[in-house]
Parts: sequence; structure tokens; C-alpha cells
Amino acid sequence: MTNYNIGSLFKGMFRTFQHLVGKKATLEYPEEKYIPRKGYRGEHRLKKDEQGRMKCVACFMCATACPAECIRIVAGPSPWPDRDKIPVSFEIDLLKCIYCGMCEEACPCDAIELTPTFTQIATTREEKIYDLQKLMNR
Amino acid sequence: MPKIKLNGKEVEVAPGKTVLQACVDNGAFVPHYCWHPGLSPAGNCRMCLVKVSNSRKLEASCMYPCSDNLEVTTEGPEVAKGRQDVLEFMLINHPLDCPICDKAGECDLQDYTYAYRGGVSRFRDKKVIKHTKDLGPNVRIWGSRCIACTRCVRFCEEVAGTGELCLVNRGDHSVVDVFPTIPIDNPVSLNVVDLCPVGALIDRNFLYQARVWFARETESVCASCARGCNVKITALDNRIKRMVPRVNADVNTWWMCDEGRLNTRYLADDRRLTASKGSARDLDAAARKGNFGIVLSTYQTIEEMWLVKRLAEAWKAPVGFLTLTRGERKKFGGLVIEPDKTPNRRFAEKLFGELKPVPAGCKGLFVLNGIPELEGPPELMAAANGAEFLAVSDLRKGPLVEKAQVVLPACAWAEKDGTFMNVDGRVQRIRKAIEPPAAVRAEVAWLQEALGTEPLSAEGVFLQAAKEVPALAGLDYGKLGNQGAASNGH
Ligand code: SF4
Ligand code: SF4
Ligand code: SF4
Ligand code: SF4
Repeated sequence: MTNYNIGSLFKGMFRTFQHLVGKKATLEYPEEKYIPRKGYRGEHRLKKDEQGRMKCVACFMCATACPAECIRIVAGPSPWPDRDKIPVSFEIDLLKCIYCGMCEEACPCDAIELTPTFTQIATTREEKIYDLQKLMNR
Repeated sequence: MPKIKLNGKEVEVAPGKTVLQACVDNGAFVPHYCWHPGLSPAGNCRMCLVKVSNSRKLEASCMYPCSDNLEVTTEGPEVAKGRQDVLEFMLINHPLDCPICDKAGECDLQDYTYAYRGGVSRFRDKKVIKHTKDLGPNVRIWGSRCIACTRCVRFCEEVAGTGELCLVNRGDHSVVDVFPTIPIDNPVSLNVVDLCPVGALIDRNFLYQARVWFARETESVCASCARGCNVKITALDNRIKRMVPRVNADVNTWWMCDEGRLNTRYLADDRRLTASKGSARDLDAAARKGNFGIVLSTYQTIEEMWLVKRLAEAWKAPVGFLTLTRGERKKFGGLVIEPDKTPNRRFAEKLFGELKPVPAGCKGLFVLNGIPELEGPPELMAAANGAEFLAVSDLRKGPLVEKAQVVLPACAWAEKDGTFMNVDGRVQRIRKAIEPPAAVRAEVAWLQEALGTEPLSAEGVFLQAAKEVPALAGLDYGKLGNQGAASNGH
């Protein structure tokens, strides 16, 4: 007797109906906001301490760990007595970044963090090179 | 000569040598901080512990004399434990702030800690915090990082002869300091920064300039005096960040002077000459009209001088020289600072005989000046004012360049390949550490253009010169290597 695989056909139709009535996998973006899961690796920010000063001490550990070599730091002496060194400039080229999170992992001061911001909106390349100001104020 | 057994292998050592020297000479690695081949032994860091057959405890090898049939073991669990314990003591007060320490990446304490300790400390009290301050115009100290090895103190006493540094306080409060109102300010002061096995002494000019693992190092020779100290140029982003000496027993031993070390700022000067006017062919055309003179600085490389000599022969032009002497000869241990502040005078004398002054009364003049701090001495200005045609190659803009019909910007010594002959007649290579400003070409390139010969690299020109100049006979870049070679007839 020929095997028409009727069983599989019903199984497939059952799945289809299940999805018609079940929880939706898609989103009415942008009206509906997407909230990434915890630990999502999006655009960076530099954290501040309790006094609103940057936490970063310009140790270059993030730049050393970064496989995409997209972090550029220029260091200088610190104006505050509790530390020696701070970044004079800090740039991340987010178009080169591969969002691996190694920089966050490498930082000994918990100063850099990947935020859940996942949108990549810019009209020029320069806009996606974030400087110290931009990274601090996010 | 006493024979010792080093890790089971019999080796012969010169009489009077210590166990550490025997280990270093025979390639057995023994970690150490306070011992340095150029300084007297102090035996205070205790890092060089080894097992010797004459003693039941571990011995500091830097102070232990070699005697016949001594058995020395530099590896093994007992020695490793000894080193671990020494390191644990050293790290009691050490901040381990490697992430912001400029020594990180080339720090002996970091390396040995990584190699011998498991990263555990049993110390539960507060660390002693010591001073961070400037000890002199070029040297700053992070006292907390100091491991009191006294290398810097011994250098100032034994080599510099000035003795500015001393170890103050006792026990775990001991730290290096200067006497009030007497900063460390001698002509070789920055060697203490290289000597410091940790990041306690830092060159203020290099402070926060680069993490060393990002920088590129090039083996070259200092051009700031006729001694030609062997150096390593550390460059990052096409800027020279620092120079440190390389060991060369025949030239500078372990040291170099501060003046040479810091004489790199003119490379990034605002007044750096970058635009050319006319070409080397224009220069050749003008020179062939006759009554032409050449002025050559003793800062040019061997290759450039040789090409200029050929041009002078083709143009039948007399060659005058620009030189620079300042101060007197100073000796610091194995380092002699020469009063001749140009690197290649010796070769100019070999090639051209006695150096003549700037030729006067020529209708046309070609000035090739590589001396950074020399700008139009009066006799040169007079000769230039009298000339109808002037071609200039210089590092910086100046009155001479403004007057010139042909301008060919010069490469600084760190921006080109070549060779210098030092005051003792030793031929040594310089290597390109950074790129010259855009549009600036190496002198050998446009000198060959003026000659109208097939363009060769500096190495090719040297080979040609070696065939014709007796002082260079038999030499090539391979033979010069990174330590140079004595020239013929020296
Ligand atoms: S996320 Fe990865 S690629 Fe991006 S800056 Fe950090 S280390 Fe570099
Ligand atoms: S690792 Fe952290 S502290 Fe160090 S430079 Fe990067 S962000 Fe700053
Ligand atoms: S001296 Fe060496 S071990 Fe100490 S902080 Fe500096 S790099 Fe680290
Ligand atoms: S400053 Fe450096 S060289 Fe001087 S004693 Fe301390 S660790 Fe040794």
C-alpha cells in the first residue's frame, strides 16, 4: 500500500493552528518597543562614581582586550587626588565594534558597560564614533 | 679556573665571578632585581636565591663566589618556593596598580609575580603608602611601588657620580628620596628610570604617553653626539614616545645621556619643513652651469655623504661643512658624551679629508643641513646672500629656506635608513622608526635623482660606497647587524 503520510500532514496543520492562537513571535515595531533580555550587549556607556566623576582611569585594559581594536584612548594626569590617571579622550568606533563585551569584562574599575541600546541610527560614519562626552552622558 | 656544576652540567668560570654571573654567562635563568651588570652587587632583593651544595639554606647567588666543584641548582621546588616567599614579602606593600603603571608590560616584578606566585597574599593589614613626587626635572617617583633594590641609588653614586638619590626611612617605610633642594638633575639622570626594575621611577616625559605593548620598538642609534649610543626608539601613532639605551659594550655599555634621549621634539615641530619647491633635477641643471658650491652637515648619513661626493665630482664643486660642537667631553662609567654634537663627522673626514669651511663667492649654492638646532650660521648666510641660485634641504623653515629657489625638505634621523660612523670609527645602522611627513622623501632618493642614476635603497647605496671607500671595505648591512662593526683602518 502507498504511504501518504497522512499523520505528518495533520501534525503540520496542528502546529499552524497553534501559532494562530498562541503567543506572537513578532512585534509591531516601532509602535511597540522591544525590550532586550537582561545582559543584552548594545552600545557602550562610561559609568560615573557617586560624585559624578568618570570611573575610568585610562588603563587601556579595554583597548587591549578589544578584538576589533575600536577603542582609542589618550591618557593624562588626573585633577583629583584619589587617582593618578584619567582619559583625556576616549573614543569607540561603534561601526567597528562587534559587541562582544570583552571591554566590559576587562575593565578593572567597572567603568565601561554595554547598554541595551541596540538601534544603530546615524547618517554619517563620524556620528557612530562616540567620544568621552557622549559615552559619559548616556 | 674554578669548575662548577650548574644544573648538572660542568662549566668553567673565570676566577672571582659570582654564581649569578656564572648563571648569566651560561644561559641559566635566575630572576633578580638589585643586581645589574653595570653596578656593584648589593645583595638586598633576595630574588636570586639558588641552591648550592656548600650550604643547607638557599643562597643569594649575586653575592656567592664560585668555588671549585660547587654544585648549583637554579630550578626545582625548593628554589621556586624560596622565590615565591621573597615575592610575597615584596608584595606586602606594593600597590600592584599595574593597570595605571607605566612600567606594566616590561616590569620585572610583574613578570616574576606572574611566573612564580599563584596570586595569593596572606597579608591582612593596611599597606604602607609612600610619597609620589617629582625628584627632578625628568624623574618622578611612585614610592609605594619601590622595592628598595637601590639600583638607582648605586647608579647615582657609581656612574653619575652625583649621588642625589638615597634610601630614607627604615623597614617597610624605606623609600627612595632626594635631599631637600637638591633634585636629581645630572646629564645621565634618566638611566635610573631604565634601571628601576619596577615602575617606581618614571620618566616624566613618557608619563602616560603609551602602554608599551601598543608601541613599536626600532633598534637604532642616537644621533645627538658623535658617540652614537645604541638605542631603541619607542614609537606610537607615528610619534616618537621615548628612547632607551641598548647594551653595546663597545659604544655606550648600558647607558645613554638625557640630552640625546630627549632630543626628539624637533621631529614634530610646527616649523618642520614639509613642502618642496622645484626638484632635484632643477638643482642638477643649475649646478652644471659652473661655479657651484656645496655645503654639507656632518649630520648626514654615510650613504648621503657618498652620494654628495659623487655630485661634487660631477659638478666640480667644492664642499664645505656645517658642524656643531658644544661643551666638553664627559665620562660617566662606560659612557662618554662627546662635544661633537653631530653623528657622522668621522666619516666626513675619511671621505673628504680635512673639513673645509663654507665655500665663499660661489654663484650657486646647495645646502644640505640635517643639524636640528643649527639655523643659518653667519658665514653660511653671507655665502647664500652672495649666490644667485640657492638650493636648500633642511628640517625646519628659516631665513635660508625662504631665499631658496629649490627646497627639498629633509628627513630626520629617525625617519630614514642609513649608517653613521661614530667617533671611534664604528659603523652603525640607523633604522626608520616613523614615517616622515607626507611628501618628504629620503635624501638618498632625491640625491640619486640629481645624479641621474638608477634609484637604489640606502642599503644598495651603502654597498656601492663600500666598494669604493676603503674605510667601508668588506662591510654590508648584514655585517653591521644591530651592534655595528669597526671600520677598516680603525
Ligand atoms: S564590545 Fe568588543 S568589539 Fe566592542 S568595544 Fe568592547 S571589546 Fe571592542
Ligand atoms: S578598562 Fe575601564 S578603566 Fe580601563 S580604560 Fe577601559 S574603561 Fe577605562
Ligand atoms: S611596578 Fe610592576 S608590578 Fe608594580 S604596579 Fe607597576 S607594573 Fe605592576
Ligand atoms: S626606585 Fe626603583 S631602582 Fe630605586 S630602589 Fe626603588 S625599586 Fe630600586
